[in-house]
Amino acid sequence: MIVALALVLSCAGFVALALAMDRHHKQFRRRVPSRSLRLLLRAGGVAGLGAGFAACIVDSGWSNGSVLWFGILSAAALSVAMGLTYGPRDRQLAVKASPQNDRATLRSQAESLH
Amino acid sequence: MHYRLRYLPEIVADWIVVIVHRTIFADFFTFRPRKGQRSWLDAHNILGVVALPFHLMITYSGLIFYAATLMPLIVAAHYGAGQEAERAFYDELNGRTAQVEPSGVAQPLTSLVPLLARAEARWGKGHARSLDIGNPGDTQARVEVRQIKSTPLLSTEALVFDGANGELLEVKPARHSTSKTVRDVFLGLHEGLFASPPLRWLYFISGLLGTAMIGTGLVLWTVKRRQRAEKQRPASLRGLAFVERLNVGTIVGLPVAIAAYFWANRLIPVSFTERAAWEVHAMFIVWAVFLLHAALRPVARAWIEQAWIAAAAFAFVPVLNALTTNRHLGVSLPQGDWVMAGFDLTMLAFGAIFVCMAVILMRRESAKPTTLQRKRTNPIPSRLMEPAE
Repeated sequence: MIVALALVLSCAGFVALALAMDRHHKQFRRRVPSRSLRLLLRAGGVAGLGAGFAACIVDSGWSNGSVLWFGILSAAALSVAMGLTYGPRDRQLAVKASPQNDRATLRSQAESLH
Repeated sequence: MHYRLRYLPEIVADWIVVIVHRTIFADFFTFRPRKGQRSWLDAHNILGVVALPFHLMITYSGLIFYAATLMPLIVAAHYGAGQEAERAFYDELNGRTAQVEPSGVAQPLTSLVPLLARAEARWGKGHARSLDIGNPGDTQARVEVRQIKSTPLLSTEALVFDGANGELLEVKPARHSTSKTVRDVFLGLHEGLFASPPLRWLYFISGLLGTAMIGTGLVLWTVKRRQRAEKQRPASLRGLAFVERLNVGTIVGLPVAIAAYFWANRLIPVSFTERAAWEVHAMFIVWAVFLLHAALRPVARAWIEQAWIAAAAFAFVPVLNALTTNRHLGVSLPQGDWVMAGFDLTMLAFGAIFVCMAVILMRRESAKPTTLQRKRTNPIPSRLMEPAE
């Protein structure tokens, strides 16, 4: 059961880290996060992953728990990436996104829009 | 069998490429489907980065397994060259040199029950992994009881008993030296025998991610080159077509061969002496057949046909299990035998994945002319499909 908790905490951590990135933040709010919000999200993300590590250690001890944590990180990161791709919010915005929505132009575009 | 192919250095090379690729961290969570080459690159990046710790571990520890083969001179300098010398080195490394010569005087073996009880008193109930009996029926008989692997450390504690009178002679510690312990931890991590069921699934998923990463890399390679070749040099299409066919035979044909291995395991009678060897032969024969099939059919058709065959091959493994044994899903599920049921269900899941693959490929195949038209009339998407670097 603690393993499931570790997975949930790691997923939450990765969601926060993704929201600290311009591209994924825009999937939800249509604008880039402010500097302070970005830092807060990053700190929250790291805290989530750290809490996941703690849960793994509680569950299986230091040697097996740290191995377990790496595995859970992989599973959580993949789940978050798939959620961001195929989640309902993304599909709405993906239709509206222009074909030039390239990584390089994204930042300048965002700044010129707001 | 996988390690004999020696594709590990290739994976290392692959990883260096991925790490050098700066955008992977900017694109950490990003997958953009239905965008041709861009999607393959995204998938390749995600699959690679997400399981990066696993890949580094499995690659490096895989190299450590072959340390004596890859760097033979270090052992040869002290033990001499050749297989005999290497065996002497490993015997000493694993503490097998202490084996005693048989005396030649017969003596019945002591009862093993008290020895096992003594080991379990030391480690806990059910924590004895194996019994190793040397010189049985001799006055110099030895019984070695080994502890189960419950941590990533490969080596475990072992108790050596006198096989004649049951006396405890030696407690072999799990750790001898720091360098051997480091090696044993890496090998233990590689084998994953210590892992609890959730961790085993994570090992399995990480391994699949690695396989998928290599698969997407193979496809990406051809997608990228086909675009270039069609524009500039149609002459280079022949080599490309060869790789495209190899891709079909490897990405789908090899899984079919693995399914065939399980079929052989169920269909070849246990009484057949060379059963184990023929299970392996069945796998390679089927793989060869599917490589041939990929070579003879049009590439797009080969993908679809092999995907359907793979779906059927995996879906029938549980059926075969039900027909030939009494530990099928109808028995294992009600009994809660998750080792047996988990295997059968995983086979069904693989079957379902290949059905999805076949259906998606068929849909794309029937929609193909319109895609080509769109590409020709609209210059923007093709510009986007240029290599990212």
